[in-house]
Amino acid sequence: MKKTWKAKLLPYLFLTPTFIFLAIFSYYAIGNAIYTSFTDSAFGQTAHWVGLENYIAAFHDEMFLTSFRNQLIITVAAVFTSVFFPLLAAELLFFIKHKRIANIIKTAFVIPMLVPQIVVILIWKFLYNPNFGFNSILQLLHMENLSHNWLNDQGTALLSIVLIGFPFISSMYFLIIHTGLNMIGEELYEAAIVDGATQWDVVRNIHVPNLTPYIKIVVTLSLIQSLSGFGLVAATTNGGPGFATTIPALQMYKVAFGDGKFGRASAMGVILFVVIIILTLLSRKTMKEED
Amino acid sequence: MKAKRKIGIGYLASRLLTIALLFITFFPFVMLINMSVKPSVLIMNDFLGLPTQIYIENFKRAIDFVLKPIGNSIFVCVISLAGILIVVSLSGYAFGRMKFKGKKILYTLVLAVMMIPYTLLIIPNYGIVDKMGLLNTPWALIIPYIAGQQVMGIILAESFFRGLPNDIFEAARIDGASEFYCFAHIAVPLSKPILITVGITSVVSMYNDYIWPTIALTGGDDTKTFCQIVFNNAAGNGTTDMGLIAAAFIIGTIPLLIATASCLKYYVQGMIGGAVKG
Repeated sequence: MKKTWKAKLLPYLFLTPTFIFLAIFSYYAIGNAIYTSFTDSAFGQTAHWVGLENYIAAFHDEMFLTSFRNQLIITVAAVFTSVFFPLLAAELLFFIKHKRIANIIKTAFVIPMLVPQIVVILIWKFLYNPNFGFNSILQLLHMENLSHNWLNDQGTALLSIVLIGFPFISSMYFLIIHTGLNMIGEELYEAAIVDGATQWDVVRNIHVPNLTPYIKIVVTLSLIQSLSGFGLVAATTNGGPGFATTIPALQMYKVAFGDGKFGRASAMGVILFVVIIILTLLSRKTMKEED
Repeated sequence: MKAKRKIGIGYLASRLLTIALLFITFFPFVMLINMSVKPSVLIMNDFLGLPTQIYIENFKRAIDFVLKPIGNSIFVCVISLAGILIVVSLSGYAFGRMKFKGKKILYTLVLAVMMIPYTLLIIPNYGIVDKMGLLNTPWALIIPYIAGQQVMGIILAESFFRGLPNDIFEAARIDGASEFYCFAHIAVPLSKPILITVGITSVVSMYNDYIWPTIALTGGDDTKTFCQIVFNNAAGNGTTDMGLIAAAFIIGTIPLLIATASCLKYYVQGMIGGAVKG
């Protein structure tokens, strides 16, 4: 069948809006970010080429380097909590034989997901308030000596941020693992019953091996999400007290929109981008090798 | 599994753990509701206690305070949603059902965008929106949102369109239907479930965003979105009346709650589908 030139052109016409948007807000934008990182671009000033100056400055910036240490703690904790608690909840639900009750509990775990993220973060910020919240509970238990100004104390700020959202079940990670658990075929369980397997045997020998692909997805997603976002820290401590909770993305944001130093901030962004790409590729590679 | 199960320690412990996890999950939200019906003084002095009477004043004042931002959020979400659905169905159809030169390269170019972290793009995008003269208008959100949200949507729509049975399209073509007719009268009506999925996932992330609005809308309160004013409040500029803030949180959550709850099935599918394919 011969196509007219109009028919040949149609697919490209369909794709035109997408590529106009991508050309401006993705391809040009990333090129611009990389270019800007080599200039002294600042708010309201003409930019000059400065070579690697911004990169050298970033690697000498104490705060920027500390921020990677904080990021490491936050990311390791995020990956762990994103796998452990959703998995725990999915397993607990699995062993509830009453399907309707299990379903109700599942829905209950999902509902808080529908509340805007910033609202959840700020409720936790209320709970961390020095004058009420968790400290009220401690007072009730006569453990006032454990009271803290949770988010404003060098010793507790980072831990407090990491614990926001505890027990970390209301997330898409729970949905992914729960779905994975329900995909396991009945026949595996029948064999296990014949062998007289205990519930623990079922978890260890049937669930864990069959859930591995889903757990890998959760690891990769939570890794990327925790590395690229800074909204949580921006809304709670804004990096403080001191640099106790500063992370690279937040530092970049502050240098750009606080100090107006777009060149310097872009270099930080590019460094972070490279780190994210390397970690993503590494995690994908190690996970593929295991398959 | 077993026909009869003994109620042992393990059974009891697992049930108690489930209840404890549920309780902790809901504790912050219960506290929020509790705060919203108490005057500020009572929140400070008796945080955990239930109020003797409902302090409805918080909600009355909160409505004045959040109605405009909620309206702004909804306006941005609705216009962006329309844009996203048009762009996604066109590109999803082209990639999923049409044959043309360079398809693989173009699709890879779309997928590659997924690798760029949002953080890296906020500085150049600020410059772009500034040059377009859109700063401090809703379009400073809408246009970048369409650009960003379309990517995941295209990936979901592409696999949906590719999975549609060939026969319907063949039959239509034999009847002399044009490619555009196939798109508009066969593919789009069939794609309702995937478009709802794409739509709801996009709406949730747009309504939730507060970093980009904080950057792009720095003018008056006229254009600010709900999550933005909540965030600004957290950053320390705004009211300190906690009962009022709690009531505002609850009011602002309702539109999103209604939107997601009414298509929960699609939302869950979108999250899982997006996660697995991304």
